[in-house]
Amino acid sequence: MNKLLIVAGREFRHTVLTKAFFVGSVVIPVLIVLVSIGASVFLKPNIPPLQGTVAVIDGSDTFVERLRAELAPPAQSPPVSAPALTGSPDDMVKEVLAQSEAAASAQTRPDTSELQVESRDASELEQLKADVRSGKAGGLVVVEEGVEDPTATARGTVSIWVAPKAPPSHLELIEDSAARAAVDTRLQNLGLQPDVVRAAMRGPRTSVTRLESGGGEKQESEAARMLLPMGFMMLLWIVTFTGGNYLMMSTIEEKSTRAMEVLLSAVSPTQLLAGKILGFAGVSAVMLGMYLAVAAVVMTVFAALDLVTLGDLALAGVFFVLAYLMVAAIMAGIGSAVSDITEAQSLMGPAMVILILPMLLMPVVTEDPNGTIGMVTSFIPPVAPFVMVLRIAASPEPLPALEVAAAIGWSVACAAGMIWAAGRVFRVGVLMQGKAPSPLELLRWIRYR
Amino acid sequence: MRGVTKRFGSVTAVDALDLDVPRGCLIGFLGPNGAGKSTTIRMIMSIIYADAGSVHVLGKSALDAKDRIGYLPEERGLYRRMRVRTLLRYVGRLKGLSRADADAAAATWMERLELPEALPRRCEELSKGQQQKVQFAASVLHDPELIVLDEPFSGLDPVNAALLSRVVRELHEEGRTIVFSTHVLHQAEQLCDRIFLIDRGTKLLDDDLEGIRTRFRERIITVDPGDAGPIPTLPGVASIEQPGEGRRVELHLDDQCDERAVMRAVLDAVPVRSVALREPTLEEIFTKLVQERPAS
Repeated sequence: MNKLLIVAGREFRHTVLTKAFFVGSVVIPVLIVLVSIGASVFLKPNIPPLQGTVAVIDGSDTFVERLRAELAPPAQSPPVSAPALTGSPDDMVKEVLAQSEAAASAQTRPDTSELQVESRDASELEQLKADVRSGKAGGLVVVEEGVEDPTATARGTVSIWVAPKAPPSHLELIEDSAARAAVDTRLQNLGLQPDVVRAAMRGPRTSVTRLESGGGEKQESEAARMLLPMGFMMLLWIVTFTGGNYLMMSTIEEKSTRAMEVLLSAVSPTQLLAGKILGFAGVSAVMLGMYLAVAAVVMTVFAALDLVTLGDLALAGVFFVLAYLMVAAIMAGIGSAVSDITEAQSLMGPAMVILILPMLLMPVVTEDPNGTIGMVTSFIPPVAPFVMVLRIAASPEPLPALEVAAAIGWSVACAAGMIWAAGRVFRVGVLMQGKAPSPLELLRWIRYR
Repeated sequence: MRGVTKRFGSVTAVDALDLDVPRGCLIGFLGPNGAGKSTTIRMIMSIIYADAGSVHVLGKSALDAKDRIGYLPEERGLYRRMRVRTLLRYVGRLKGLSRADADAAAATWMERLELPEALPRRCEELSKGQQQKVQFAASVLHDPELIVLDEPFSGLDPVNAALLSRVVRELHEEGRTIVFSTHVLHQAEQLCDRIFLIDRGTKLLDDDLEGIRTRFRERIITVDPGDAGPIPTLPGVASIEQPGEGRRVELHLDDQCDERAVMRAVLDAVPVRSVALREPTLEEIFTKLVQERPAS
């Protein structure tokens, strides 16, 4: 046991207390966030102004008027400010998304302060096209007959011509403005006021309460229903896969530098493997702790901490251990069987097909956590712990205790079996040099004495 | 080791091998490439396990005796980016030393191996010979009773080979049991007091050096007659042959005669320049035994 702890301690220290770990786990994620924020704040796109004249052919006065209003510069730029974080978590998420969208839209809207919209005759079509081509005009809009008719069955077409070097933002603005102008014209033709109709079309806030079978009520949250399972599972996947990857790389290093035989003269292969698994479990736990702390801060800001119960966290902890053990078993087997990272890639292919399965199952299980797919995959290693975490987070009601206990029991048995098999492969593989074995040969190694 | 057999698939690497290493002995473990030496050593170290037979080391199972054995594997291996002090501390602690004892032993051994300046350096910064000394230190710093050295001198320059050879002798004189595997037979001849030779997984020879020389003595006396005349026919001499173009001749003796009596008779008969009983070298014995084995 003492030797196992010495190995585990060495693996933990030489991974966590390194610049590479600090850079990879802390600096790079922080940098990504900072760069993303910085890019959105400082890297404003240099959009040329949309100026000159946009000519409209065959449009009614109403259409031209509405288009002029759409293309006019906004009375005041939408302020890019911190969203008001009040209301339910869902409201706050929606508010943040709406603010982001408005800010992004304001940044990409070209300046139209020197733009005129004029009605022209159809006979000038070719001349106007030539003007647009040469840059004398900002654009040309031709309204097909019937577009403004609110009773027409066909949608009709508004054709738009732009200059050869017109940027996408010009196209998008003219296209969206023309479409909205056509709709507004139809509404006006029906005797309605477009602004009033638009205001009336804004959906109300909704509040969904789930009536629980036990008699209670629970406020339903889209964030809890979709984001939480996804976040939990992604977190689990990232930390277990990273820990497993460290384990594989460490084993490959010891094989390729021939340090393995020195170690095996002091500890048994089982002790070495167990020490490594324990050491890198610590590494994964540190990462999990760091990311959970960040998640807790975010959830506190969004007043969403009550979406996660301590029971859910405890279960997630159990399944984290089981998921890590299964991933570690696969990675240890691969690491011990190969002599360098290039060889490892050939065995990582089949392993990745299995390890990516939780990602593919995520939308299905989140939508129907108690469906057949969710139930069956809860008992198939190594995806079972990931699926269980998804189901626990996504299920509107707690999963039946017996089912959770059965899934834990079965996963414990599977993890133990996988670790045992990895130990057999590890014992044979760590002393092998030369050609990497095929996956089938790896299975044969399990039977070796 | 008693009746130890190890197979890898259809290949029998070690076949019903018996080996006794007396305590305090320095035994040369010899054999051609692929003879099964490394496999045998790995079983002694309980790195791999025998399919049949038993291995007892220092009176215990090989696994239980692990901390009392020092092992220098043939394939040298160090953590490239690790500092020498950290590496020796890690290996020492795995061998049962406390952190303080491991550090003290590391300093002592690096001093003894004339490489104290390497302690704070990373392994990758050392030359191949220096790395080998570090690895030797790693194998003995826990003061083992049994030391297994697999090709300890390969890659060392003559000065460092002599240093290591001296240290091995000192360890032997301190009473440690040493198993020394090598291809360089004259080194084994110089260092070892017992030889164990295997080929294709089976034992060919297991005896002390004197016993081997007696057993393989060829009963040939070589004589350099100098300017003296031909060697006369003497009692006990079956034939006289001249193996090369020089003046040296070989006297092939009868099975029963006394070699010393014949040598005295030669000296009495002719004023020769030299007369010697020819001793087969370990290399000749090794080659003879391996080559005379029938192909399997």
